[in-house]
Amino acid sequence: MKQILILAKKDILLEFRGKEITFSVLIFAILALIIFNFSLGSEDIKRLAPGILWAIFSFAGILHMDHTFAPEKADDTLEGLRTCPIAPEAIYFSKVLSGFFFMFAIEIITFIIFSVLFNLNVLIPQIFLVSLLATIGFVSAGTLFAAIALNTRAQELVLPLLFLPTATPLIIAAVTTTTEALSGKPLSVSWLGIMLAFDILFLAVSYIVFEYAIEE
Amino acid sequence: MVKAKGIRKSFGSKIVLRGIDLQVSEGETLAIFGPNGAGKTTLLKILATAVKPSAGDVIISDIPVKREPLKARRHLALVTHQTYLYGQLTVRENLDLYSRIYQVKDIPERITELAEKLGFLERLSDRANTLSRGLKQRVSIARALLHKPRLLLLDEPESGLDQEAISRLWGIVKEDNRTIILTTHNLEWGLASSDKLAILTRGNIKLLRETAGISEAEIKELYSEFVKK
Repeated sequence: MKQILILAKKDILLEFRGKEITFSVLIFAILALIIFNFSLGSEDIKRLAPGILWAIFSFAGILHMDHTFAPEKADDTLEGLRTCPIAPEAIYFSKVLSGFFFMFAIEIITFIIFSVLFNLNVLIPQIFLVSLLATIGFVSAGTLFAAIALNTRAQELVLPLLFLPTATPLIIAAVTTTTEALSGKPLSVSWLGIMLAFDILFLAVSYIVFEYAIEE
Repeated sequence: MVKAKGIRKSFGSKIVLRGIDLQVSEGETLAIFGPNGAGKTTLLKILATAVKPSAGDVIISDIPVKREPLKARRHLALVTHQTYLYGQLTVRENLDLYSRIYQVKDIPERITELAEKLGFLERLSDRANTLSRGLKQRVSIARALLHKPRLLLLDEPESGLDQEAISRLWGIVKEDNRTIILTTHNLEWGLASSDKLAILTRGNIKLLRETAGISEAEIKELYSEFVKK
């Protein structure tokens, strides 16, 4: 656990120093919200809000995941970590932790801006729960696929090709439960269960296979 | 200290190492010579556990690397052309990070000690991506020495360093009766620095012997002979 925190802290510090991706992803999210704000009428917004938000988060997620291993590329520091007494799983969980930190922060900022622009409060506990479960799923699957894509020639193509079809059930569950939350209905246990199962499945599978994904 | 038996490595259909046997005792220095593409770097990376061999076994300090890689890694360090430094972090932050990973005691003192010895004390607060190639190499060596490894694997350590830096560095890396395996293209320096030498070509070790009693001219002749074959 200590090593996971050491590595996650390093990733967070590198992102704050480099400001390479989180800032770009945030700009993308804000720009998308502004475009939707101009193109949609206020009567449509409650019906379309879940789709808008999760479409933005899906693309933002891919942009962010694509960058997961970028800090390790410049001087092959991933190889350096492979010669250290660190379990490969610790590297994986540190990336999941730092990825979650940034993705969740982007989502919270997006929710705030969305609430202001569309005059629709999405800052409610049910949506936070959905966001939490979906983001864990996004980063757990995305980190594994980013590691697999790392050793391929068309990294930018491989990641979305692997990620989007796999994450479809998660995205559908997130959209459905967000719709329920905005309609004031209780969240479906079955959809929440799908998200939880997705999270557990990908964390468990990645725990087993991540070592092979980062092998040279 | 280090035993390698039957090490083979292929990347797809390309065979890089074809069955390497090595044995290096505690405190010994082995210099591996060979042309580009001979498999020297791959061999070092396998010994450093960064790359898994396709076949064969490595034992470091009586630890079977296949079964206990994390335990073996506590005893070794690898220095290559890649410095393994994060450019956006300062030199001190980089060394602090690796110290924490290796659970080094008295981290600030150890960093200062190595920075003083390797001559970059005044650059500790600079970001790694602002350093020259030679200085990065020195920081990379400090990174490797933080946890006082018993086995040091050096891939062409003299590249990017001037003569004075090489001499200074050599005195530091040889401290604590450390075992060293290095690769180099510099036959003269490699011969003077090592107790044993090996010539590796096309994935095979063609010669493995003590350096005592062999002249520079002889090694040059042997090298040309094996490389041409």
